[in-house]
Amino acid sequence: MDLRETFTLSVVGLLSHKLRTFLTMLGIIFGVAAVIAMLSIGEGAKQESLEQIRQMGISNIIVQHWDREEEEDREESTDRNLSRGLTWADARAISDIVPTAEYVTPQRELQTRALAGDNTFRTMLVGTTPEYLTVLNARVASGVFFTHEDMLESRRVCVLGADARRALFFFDDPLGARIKIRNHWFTVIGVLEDKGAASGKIGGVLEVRNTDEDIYVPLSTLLQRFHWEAGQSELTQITVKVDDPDRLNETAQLIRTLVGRRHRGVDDFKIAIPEELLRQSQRTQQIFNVVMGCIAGISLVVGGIGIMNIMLASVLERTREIGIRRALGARRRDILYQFLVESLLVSLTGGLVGVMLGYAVPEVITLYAGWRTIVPAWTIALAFGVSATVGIGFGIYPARQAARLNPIDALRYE
Amino acid sequence: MTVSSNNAVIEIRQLIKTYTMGLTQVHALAGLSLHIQRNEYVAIMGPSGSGKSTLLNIIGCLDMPSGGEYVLNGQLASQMDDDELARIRNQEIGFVFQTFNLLPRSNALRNVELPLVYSGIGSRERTDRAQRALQAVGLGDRMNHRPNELSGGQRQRVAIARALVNGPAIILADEPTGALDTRTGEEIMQLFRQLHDQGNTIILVTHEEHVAQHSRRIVRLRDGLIESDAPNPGGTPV
Ligand SMILES: Nc1ncnc2c1ncn2[C@@H]1O[C@H](COP(=O)(O)OP(=O)(O)OP(=O)(O)O)[C@@H](O)[C@H]1O
Ligand SMILES: [Mg+2]
Repeated sequence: MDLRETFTLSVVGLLSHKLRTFLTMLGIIFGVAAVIAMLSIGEGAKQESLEQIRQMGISNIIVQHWDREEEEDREESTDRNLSRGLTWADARAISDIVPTAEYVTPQRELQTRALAGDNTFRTMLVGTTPEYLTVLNARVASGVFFTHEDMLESRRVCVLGADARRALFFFDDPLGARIKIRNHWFTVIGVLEDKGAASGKIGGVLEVRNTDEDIYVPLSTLLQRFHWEAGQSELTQITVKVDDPDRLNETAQLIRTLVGRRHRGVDDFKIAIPEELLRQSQRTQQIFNVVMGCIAGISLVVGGIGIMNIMLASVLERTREIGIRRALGARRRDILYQFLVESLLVSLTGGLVGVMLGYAVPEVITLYAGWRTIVPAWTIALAFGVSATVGIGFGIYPARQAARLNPIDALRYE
Repeated sequence: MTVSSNNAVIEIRQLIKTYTMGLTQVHALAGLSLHIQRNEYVAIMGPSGSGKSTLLNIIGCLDMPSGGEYVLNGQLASQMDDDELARIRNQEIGFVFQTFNLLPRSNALRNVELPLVYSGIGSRERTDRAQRALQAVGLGDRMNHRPNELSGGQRQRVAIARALVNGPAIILADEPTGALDTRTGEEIMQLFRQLHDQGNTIILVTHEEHVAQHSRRIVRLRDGLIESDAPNPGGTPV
């Protein structure tokens, strides 16, 4: 009997018990779908954090002001006297003293509202220096970024993030237009390209917001024009671009020592290295993948046991049929293949449906939970490989049982 | 290896079949010897439990003896491997069972095709030959009926068509009329007579004297041994 005959025979056998076949398949369907869904969530998360970290600059070191006021009220007054928080002077000191610091850009952020005509937009007003562009890999889409001259004269000019532009001007040309922030009017001189990054948290430490919603003004203008409460830190953040990515850690160490000394030992800043965070998050991701893979794998094994169970029952139920076939000239391997192909068909069909479901589930997750999901192509090969292995692995024993039967014993079986 | 002493198709020497049931042993065949020539028509009779079915199953290569020798066409059955036995069941022997043993989910045509499937014959020729076999037993108009849509006699004729379809030289039948009424039984016996006339060797097991009368030789068993073995003068001469 050739393979096509065996195949036809198995299909007919399976179709004669449609519901049972389907229920048997479910185990594999869910197992495969779970594997693919898990992997795609993992892959999506990985891509997302990769992009966020790229956006922060893979060769950057971030020094952030750390407000401890809320946590430790009692020390507040003494600390304030010792340190004024992160300052522009700190930024200059880093630039002057740290040899590996290629570019340094200070940043002061202010949560506020911007008005353009009738449109208002909740935004983050960022006071910074022209180096911002280089350090953060940002590009100007139209117009220009402000210059050192703008800085020196504290001009009231601003550059819009892509989303801020869309929200305030829709399709109008914003260049030359004036927007109002608090009591001050700013002239729009440029718009940045879309960075396309979502907000989130990396490694549970570094807050990443959607910087496309930011509005940028010269740091000097921001510090002069707006009213600041006494005792507030001058800067929110200093971003340092390091010329040699291999020296990130030692540079960070140097900056920690330098700023620590300038702050007289007051622990009011923290240093983050995006590249380091990337590696951490990848490690966490790996653990997540392994755990999820195990869970999905277990469901596949359960599915395989389901196949084995049904195949064993089917062999018992069809003992007479086996006897008849043997009496009419079927060889042991004809019977073996018949049952093996059946379980292989169940598992492969289940695998196929599982792959489709595995594609659909991440879509739904993306739609409702907003998580990014990516189905890597190799998971499909994996899914089919695994279902074939499950089909053969759990099908071989029942098929052997069937083939082992003596013709006369099988015929006599009641 | 040839162990044949004459040109018998079937040579049985000191055949023993023992079933062990717990502590007791049942000797279904107790050292039975029998030779059957080509184109003989033999009826095997005997009381219930005398070992008729056991003997026929061994002749049909469905079962293996516990002792003694069974030589089929000059070849010792105990020395054949499973594939060889399957080939013999498929091509050299046609077996007709008392309970028909048709596949309930397949129609008459598919049932008759079954031996051809295991001979590796293509589906076209298979269908063709199965149709002719069914026509030969007078069921040309029932090919698409499933066994449960056929009468007992029709079912047995499907089973006979299946036994014949691969052109075996030997036809074995274990009480082929046991489940049929007398008239239908007679029709089946006519089929066997035709087969015998065409040159087949026929061995059938039966309880009924009038069925045995169709044969040329009657072998009577008792307790796993041959009680008598005589030509049947009542059988229609060639
Ligand atoms: N599988 C078996 N296990 C145990 N004993 C068996 C088995 N098959 C047959 N026997 C015993 O062997 C003996 C012969 O059985 P067999 O079926 O050959 O009798 P038979 O002559 O065909 O009888 P009947 O006319 O009733 O069909 C009986 O005593 C029976 O109990
Ligand atoms: Mg019997």
